[in-house]
Amino acid sequence: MTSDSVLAIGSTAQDLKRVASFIGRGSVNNAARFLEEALKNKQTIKLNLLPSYLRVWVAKIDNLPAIRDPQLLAEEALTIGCMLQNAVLAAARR
Amino acid sequence: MAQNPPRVAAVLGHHLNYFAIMQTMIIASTKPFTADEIPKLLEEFPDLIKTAIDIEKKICAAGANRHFECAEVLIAQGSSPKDIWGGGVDTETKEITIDSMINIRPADNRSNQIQDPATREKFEKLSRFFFPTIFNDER
Repeated sequence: MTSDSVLAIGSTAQDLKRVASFIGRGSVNNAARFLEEALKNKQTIKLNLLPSYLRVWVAKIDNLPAIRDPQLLAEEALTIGCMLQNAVLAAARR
Repeated sequence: MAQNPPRVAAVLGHHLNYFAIMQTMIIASTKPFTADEIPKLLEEFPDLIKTAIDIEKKICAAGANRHFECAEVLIAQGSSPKDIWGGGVDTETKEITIDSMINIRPADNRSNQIQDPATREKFEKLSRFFFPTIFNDER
């Protein structure tokens, strides 16, 4: 992964983890704000440079705005955020 | 996504309990998961195994779509919710995840990440114990 990719994926991961965190604290408005940020940052990710498994996880971000149950949204956002973060950590190890 | 309540299909084995929740297989075990069991645990996500671990009784329930489903299996077997922590194993990167919505506890853990270093260490150590086939060949 390029350093640009790592930055874009890392930022998106943090946004998604904040979505989950704010829902956990009952702050749905802040969660919505970070979901918007995640969607924006996702646009900067160069998908063609990613391993195929990671492309699948990144693509799942587009489904998040349609989730109406906050708890389910939190779970999904956290899961995707963790997988993206893991990819960044693994890239840093190499 | 399906929101139906968990449905226990079968309980068997001397150290393993198998729970079929919808199409998801959750396996609870006090022993390391075998190579044969790993594909069952990857039915929900091809590269992620979500886990809930009772860090005191050293029991791991794994394979659910959502952590609370694993936690419910442990609670049904007598685990105390305060001892259950959620996370997972990323089989692509071999990272142990320590984040879960079930980790949020107003009294002592306000984040979805396990904050207490000792608890986190126990969780990570147990994750390595339960998934030797994933971690044996790394680092």
